[in-house]
Amino acid sequence: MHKNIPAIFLVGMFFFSAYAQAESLRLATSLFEKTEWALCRRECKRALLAETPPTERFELLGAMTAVRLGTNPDEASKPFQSILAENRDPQISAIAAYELGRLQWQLDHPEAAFDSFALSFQTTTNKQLFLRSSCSLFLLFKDHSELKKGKEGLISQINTSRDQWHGTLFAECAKPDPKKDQPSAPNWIIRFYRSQISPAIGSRCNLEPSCSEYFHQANCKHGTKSIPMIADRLVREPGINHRKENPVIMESGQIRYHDPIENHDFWMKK
Amino acid sequence: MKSLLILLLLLGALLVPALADDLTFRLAQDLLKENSYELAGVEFRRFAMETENKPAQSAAYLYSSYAYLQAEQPGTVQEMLDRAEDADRAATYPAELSLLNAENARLMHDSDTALYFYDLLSDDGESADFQTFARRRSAAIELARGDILAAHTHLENSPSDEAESLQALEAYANGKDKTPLIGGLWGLIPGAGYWYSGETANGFRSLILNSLFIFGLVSTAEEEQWGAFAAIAFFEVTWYTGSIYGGIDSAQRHNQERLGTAIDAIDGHTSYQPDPGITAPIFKLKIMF
Repeated sequence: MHKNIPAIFLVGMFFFSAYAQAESLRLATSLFEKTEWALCRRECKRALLAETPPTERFELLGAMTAVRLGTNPDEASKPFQSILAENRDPQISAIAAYELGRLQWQLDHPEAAFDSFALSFQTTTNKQLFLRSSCSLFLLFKDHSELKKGKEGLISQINTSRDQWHGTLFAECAKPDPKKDQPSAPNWIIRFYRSQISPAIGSRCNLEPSCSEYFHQANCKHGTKSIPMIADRLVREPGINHRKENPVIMESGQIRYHDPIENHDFWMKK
Repeated sequence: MKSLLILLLLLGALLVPALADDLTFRLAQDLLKENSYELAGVEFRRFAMETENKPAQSAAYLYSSYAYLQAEQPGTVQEMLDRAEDADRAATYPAELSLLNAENARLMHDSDTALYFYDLLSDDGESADFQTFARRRSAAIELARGDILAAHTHLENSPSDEAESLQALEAYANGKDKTPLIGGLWGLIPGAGYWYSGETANGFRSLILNSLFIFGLVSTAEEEQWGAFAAIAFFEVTWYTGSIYGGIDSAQRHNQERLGTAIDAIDGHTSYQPDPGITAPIFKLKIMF
């Protein structure tokens, strides 16, 4: 999420500087900058329903938040296509083309992604978008070298900005991976316990998070230190059950006792 | 007749935006009452952006910062506080601004900044409620930083009776923290680390588990069943390292609980909220003890 911040800031500046007088757009842009995607989307929808100008900017901002909210890429690309078909503002088209290119790349449509990135690269006057689209084209060519054929002129144009690409830009422009931000899968011990042992013995842990989840979290945060941590948790579990401290009612109606990992690693070096 | 119609139209043109403003503000207040803090924050911002009345704009940004404070979004709180300050150069709400700034700094664990703003509120010119609130919060921060004397001074200077808080502070000062390192060293003897911090039952559980697995290790080694030995050794390492970790963790928890109990006695019952009786865009905080 934080990798989006430079882009968000620049996109935000673009929106805000052009239409500082439009309070609703200012609010929506500010929510976008704060990565409050759901609230921003609601704000855009509200403005579009009330036909608050500049509608094309609300449409674009709304479509961009939909992408960040995890909308299916096929669905998410439609508003960008319609913006590109109808809009006459070259800056809005350039942003829409860039966003559309990323979705097409994610959907494994490299030729369509190339067309979109190239449109963005050739039409934008925003330096950051120029760098991002050129870097994206470079990475797309790297993944699909067949696209390079007959594009020597474009490649040499891309290379003119190469010295301004920094490490984070490469990371931001890499092929979108929807699984990247998902929590990591539990290790084999937890998977084995959850698939083979837990179904046989039933849910026996009365703590929240459960012991297997606690071990998974500890393993993600502290690596091998998770081994003594889970042993300590198992030793403490009967005592917590007995004292019935910090009860939490689960969705199933079961009562569990809150014992988060933060209560036991607050003293560890981060 | 014609001029009356024009007058009515003009009045309508003036009233419609005012009514819309009023609706936005009421919606924001309702959302705040429902604890929908992020939504309330947005609606207060909308109201602030729509209104041209500067003190009302400042009040709305203060409401918004309060909402974001409850939603634990310190960055946005700061932005709203800055806007509140910018919107109203006449500084209609200086105490409220200081309090929200202090609370935001506290949320960000920035003790120095929080203490600075609480100091502003401790001034004799402020109301007794604000002074008591600030003194208690400052005492709690100083105590968390380990400065018992400074905490004591803050409580003594509070305009309210702080006998209970001072008693809790004295009890804390007379008590003794456990040393996590010693807890860890005691943990080398299975269960003793827990006993060091007063967790007797956990200590016995750790001792029994370690004893059983050590017994299993010895038996399998005597019978040269090395496969079973390896399996039991894996679990024994887990229990044994768990005993050492438990010794450290229980000492840390013991100290934190002791501190938490003292802080809770000092300012655990102190809270604040926008005065629920106010329905106009005026920001007034109500302190509760």
